[in-house]
Amino acid sequence: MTDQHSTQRSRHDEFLAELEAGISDPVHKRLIKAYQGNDPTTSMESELKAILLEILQRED
Amino acid sequence: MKIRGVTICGIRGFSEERTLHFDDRLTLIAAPNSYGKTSISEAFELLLYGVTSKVESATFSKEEYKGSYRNRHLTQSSPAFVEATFLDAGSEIQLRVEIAADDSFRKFANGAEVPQWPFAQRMVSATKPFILQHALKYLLLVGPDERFKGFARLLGLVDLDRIQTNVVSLCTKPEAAIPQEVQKLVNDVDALEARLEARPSLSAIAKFLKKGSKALKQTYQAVALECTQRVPYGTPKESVLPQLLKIREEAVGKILKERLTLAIYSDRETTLSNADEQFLLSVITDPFIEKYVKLIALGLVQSVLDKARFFGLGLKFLKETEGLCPFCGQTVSEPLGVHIKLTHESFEAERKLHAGLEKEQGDVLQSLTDLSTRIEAYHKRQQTKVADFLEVEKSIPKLKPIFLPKYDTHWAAVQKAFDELRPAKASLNTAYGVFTNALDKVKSSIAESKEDAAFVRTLGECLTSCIAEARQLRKLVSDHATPVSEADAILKHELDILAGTEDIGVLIDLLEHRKEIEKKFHIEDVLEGLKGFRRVVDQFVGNKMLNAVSSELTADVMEWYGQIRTTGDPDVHFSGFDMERTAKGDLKARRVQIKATSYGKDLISAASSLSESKLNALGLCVSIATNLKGETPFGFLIVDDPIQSWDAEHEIQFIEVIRKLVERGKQVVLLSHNRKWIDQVRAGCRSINGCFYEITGYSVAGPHIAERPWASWKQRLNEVDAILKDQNADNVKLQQAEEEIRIVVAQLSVDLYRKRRGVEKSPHDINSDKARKILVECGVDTGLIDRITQTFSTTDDAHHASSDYAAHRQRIQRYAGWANELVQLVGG
Repeated sequence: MTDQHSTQRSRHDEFLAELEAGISDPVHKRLIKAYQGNDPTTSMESELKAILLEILQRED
Repeated sequence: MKIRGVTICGIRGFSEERTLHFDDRLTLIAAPNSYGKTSISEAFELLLYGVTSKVESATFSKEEYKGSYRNRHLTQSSPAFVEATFLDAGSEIQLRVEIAADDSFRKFANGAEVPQWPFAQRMVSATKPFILQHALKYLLLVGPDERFKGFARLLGLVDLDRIQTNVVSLCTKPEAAIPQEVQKLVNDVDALEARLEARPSLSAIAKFLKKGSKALKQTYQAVALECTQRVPYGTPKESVLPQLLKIREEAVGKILKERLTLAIYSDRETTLSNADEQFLLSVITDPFIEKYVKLIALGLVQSVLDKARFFGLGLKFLKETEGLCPFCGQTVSEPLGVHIKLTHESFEAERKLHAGLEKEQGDVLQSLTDLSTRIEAYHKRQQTKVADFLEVEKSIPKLKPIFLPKYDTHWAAVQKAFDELRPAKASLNTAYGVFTNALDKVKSSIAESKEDAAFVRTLGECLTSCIAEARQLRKLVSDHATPVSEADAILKHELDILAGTEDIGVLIDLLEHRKEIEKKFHIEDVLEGLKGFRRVVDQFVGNKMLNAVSSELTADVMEWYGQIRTTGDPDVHFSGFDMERTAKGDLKARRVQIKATSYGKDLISAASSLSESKLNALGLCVSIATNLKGETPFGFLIVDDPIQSWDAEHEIQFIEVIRKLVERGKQVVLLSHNRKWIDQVRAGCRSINGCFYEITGYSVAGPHIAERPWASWKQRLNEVDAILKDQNADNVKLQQAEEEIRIVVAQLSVDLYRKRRGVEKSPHDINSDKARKILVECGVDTGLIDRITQTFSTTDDAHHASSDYAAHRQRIQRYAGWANELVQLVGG
């Protein structure tokens, strides 16, 4: 059963890895990397927040 | 996993307990509509998933179904359960689910309560082993999104569906991810753009600015050009902004000098204040109070300590004056010198005893000094934050007419900020004053050796109160900063209008806020880029789904669809699955397409063009194909009334599908309202020798379920006779004949028992011992009993097809003769 669960998990991770590999935009790459946990939308939202704050706080 | 048997009690139409045994290959259950046939498949759904698909697919008001699983005639305390035995990898496992009156479920595996089934993880990605008539067309007739979800579920691509849904959610509604300060920057720059667009003289700049980040360079070239026209000729580049500011200040200053300044707390300010509060609240603790109170002891020995210091000083000076008293200049005799030395040693010894106490006093005083320094800085930070803004309050008479009547809400916001911040600042000042008084009192008490725990407790209370007031002020600043800032922008704009410096005001802002403008464009680019992100994810998911439906699923479904379609059908048929595309050829998001052709021509919409029966057949084929695909713990398939709306020819075709499913190793449980068709299935699958139940009636207790023979013993004996007469019959045929005799003997035994003892028995678990017992109880001649029971010694092998089994024509002939003797007793 654990193996089966791991298989499912790895399939999910495979999809994300394949998706990330096909993305060139660094912002989108970061968002896909942030896709994790039980609430991936919130996780991606947090990453987008961080990206926007970085722009806001950038000094150069 | 295959089903061995099930007992249903108190569930749906089953009020009283009913038990059914299942053949490991094919079990048929025939019942007119509303006789509890579907309750059987629902019992398995409840057992395995805790919900029926009917309730699960209800799009609204699931409340309507609450409590509907339990039979209505049960009392609160009556048991409602489904208990089934499965054969899983050679071992039996008994699963039982009990449903309480409040719809709560308890699960038991082999008698022990469990939170989930041992194979729960394997169930997650497996297709549910049910083909239910109300679910057949579901996938085909629902909206695109539901259809996509359904296919994703069927094809084990739920993760893809989730990834896409989550990404779409982020990309279509990114508002939740935009921090307040980022939104403020965007709003401020938008307001500046609006002011710029309202100035016809600056239209050249506005035109470039509108183009966004890619035209930023041209925008600022245009800004520079406009600026040089408004400053004295020859002004150096670096002096343009100061020159513009000077021009503006001079013009605006004639009307009003003040500005409404109430900045939001920066991250640094917030961090500093939080750290201060954390420190301040950690000083006056119980250990500190204890330490402070202990200092009282220091007062009692103070005179000793003073004397020790005095003597120490005296001795030091005495060394320098060589025998003369350093205080009066008289000679110090030797005995007096010794006396002074001894007295000093005595006082010094006493002082050393209390050295720890002195150190503690030093620590307490240091803590109080740190407290004083820290709270002063903390207090000053909060005061300074609002000082400039509150200073402007005295200019209300000048400010008010600038805002009113046009900007009454902004003015109300400013007024409210004054009204709330002023008393909050005063309260903080008062609290701070009270705190410093309490601090002084504590310090004095130490100096005077009059320590009192009440002083420090009061100090702690004053400190807490002071921090509470400061926090309130901080909250008010955060609440009012944005509205005040907006009011200030209006003030600035109105002052520019009054002073005739609107163009200069806009140009100054463009120069001063270039970084903000760049950041705003960058932020917009990121947010706009989310559309592209969504497109990438849509195409990725679309391609995965396309691959699954067009190459894998289409072929599988077509295989089964080909089994059902008949030669007499009009040539209007399902032709495959695809994904819809845009005019550019991109895959449309979440659009699984069902294709159909009519005499070689593609139809626009399969769902609307295919007949009811064909949609039904297609839904059935999709369910079968997906059930056979992927990993699943279930080796069985429960098919509930599959042939509704079909004509006779399709019904016959479907029997072959059932047969193929069994041949592929699936245990099939087939339920139908159509008794005639079930008879055809039995005939079509005659050699499978499965189980056949008929629900013959229905009462409050539940359905009346009767087990029927798959074939009559007469038919079976005729077949045996035919095989024996066939001189070319091979080993397989002979084995089949022997298997038929086993079934006939079991059937005849229970028939005889019913006839002579009036009691029903199942022929399914009859073996040599059971047959002997039955026949003895029926008074059958001992010789015949011996002969009959003898048949089991080899027919069991025939049934289980053991490796050392060998068919023997003469033996089978003998068995057939003995079976015919039993027929005479039954009265055939």
